[in-house]
Amino acid sequence: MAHPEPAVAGLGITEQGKVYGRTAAQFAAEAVRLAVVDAGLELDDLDGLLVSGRLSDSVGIDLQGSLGLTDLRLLTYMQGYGSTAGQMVQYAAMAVQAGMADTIAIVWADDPLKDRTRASAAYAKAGSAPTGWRGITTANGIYSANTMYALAARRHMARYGTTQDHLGHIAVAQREWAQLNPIAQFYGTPLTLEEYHASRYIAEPFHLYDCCLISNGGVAVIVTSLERARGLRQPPVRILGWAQAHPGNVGIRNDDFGLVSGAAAAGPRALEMADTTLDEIGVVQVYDCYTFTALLTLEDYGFIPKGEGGPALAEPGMLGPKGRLKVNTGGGELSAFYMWGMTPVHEAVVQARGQGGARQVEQYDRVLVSGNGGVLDYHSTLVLGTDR
Amino acid sequence: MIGFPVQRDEATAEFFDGTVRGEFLLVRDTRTGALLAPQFDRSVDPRRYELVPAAGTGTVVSWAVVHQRGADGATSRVPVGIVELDEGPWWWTSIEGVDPDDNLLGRHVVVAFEKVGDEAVPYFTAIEGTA
Repeated sequence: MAHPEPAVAGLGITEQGKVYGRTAAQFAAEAVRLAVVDAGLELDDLDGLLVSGRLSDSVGIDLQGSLGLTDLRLLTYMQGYGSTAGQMVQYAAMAVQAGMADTIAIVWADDPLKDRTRASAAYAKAGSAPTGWRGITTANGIYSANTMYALAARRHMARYGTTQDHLGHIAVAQREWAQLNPIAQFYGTPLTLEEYHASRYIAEPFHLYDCCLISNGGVAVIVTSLERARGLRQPPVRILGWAQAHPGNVGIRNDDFGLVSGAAAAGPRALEMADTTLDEIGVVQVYDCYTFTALLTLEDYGFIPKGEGGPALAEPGMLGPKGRLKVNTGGGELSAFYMWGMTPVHEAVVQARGQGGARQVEQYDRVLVSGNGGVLDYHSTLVLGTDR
Repeated sequence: MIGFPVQRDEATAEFFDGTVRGEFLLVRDTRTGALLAPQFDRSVDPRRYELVPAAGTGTVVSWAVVHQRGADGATSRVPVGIVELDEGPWWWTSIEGVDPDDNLLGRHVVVAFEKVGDEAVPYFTAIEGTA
């Protein structure tokens, strides 16, 4: 028996950003309903549900009850941090291939922002009491992902000569893309390199605009068989290749820390599975919790040689809407919205459907998508594609 | 400077027993001789994995400067880094006795301990005259 080929048939996104008065679970339920409608399905058509969020107690498998779903054949909560969304697409694709479930909703949602709470306080507040190994690091002043990634970026800068100016070019280019994306939180607010440099430091070498946004909201995707997707409302997006890579030992001793991420191992494997080469990729959506993460991932995938990402990406005509390399075309986590791994997955589906409007790229038949979690600990890659 | 007390848990109890004595304990694999990071869980085989004090010295392999805003709105700059201990393992720590505007890569540092609450918490401080 031939295995069904998996495809994305539905996409749902709630309002993003400073949307108050609703819980992550409510955002998740709305995102699933929107994705189902987008696909031209009914909730009853779902027979699988994969759920995730920032905190395990905020969005859980009780979402099934909230949605009134019965007789599911697949249901679980997953956590791979920033790599989760890509992973959920992978496991849903495999469940479809195996015949375990036929129409699976995957959803990620979060509600860190509360009215009158500063964004920076939103994540800090959720931190645990300083206990054990993590407590020692926290008491030493290292308690934010901003600082941990700053330590990663500094290694790259010290080894290869990458500069803050290089990182600034990435921030500016993604903000340019966001000006073409009406749902981006920074839509209508362009950024110059001078403004980037003038923005306050969070943890040197990172300025404010090296760091991603914080958003309330939810995103959901419907994965089904390509055959079924062809009969639904949207252009099917094929799930052609995938891989994960989790290097390990970060913080204990990993000489590659800040120099090479899991993308270097997972990228080629996912491309091989998709029978696709790098030069066939017309648009790439990389996980950009920081400008530096985007730079590192693009190097690891091989778009630019290792160590040359700083100057290469800062070259005129390289990034941004008029650039040769179409990266994070919605503005990414830096300038659109921060739904962890769902940010790149969402824009990848939009582009692979040809529904990007003013920001739609010309060559979109193969899209590369990355997810990155922890402090470069966890990685997932997807290769998506148009039908035929 | 350590900002606030840290509570021990089961996994860090032996390590904190060492810090109060002024020792930074590593885990030694008696079978291979390898010196492992303090976080290695030696309870998997306590006879094979023993605790040994580190020399306490190391080299900075990366650093950052955290900008902290106090209640009065003033910003302080706190240098932190990753130290490669002379025995090999890495350790994430604050770094005292350095100019935050200096290039700290390769700087030699030594462990120190500050008693906050019930525990002595390790941090690292620059050894003068090194770069």
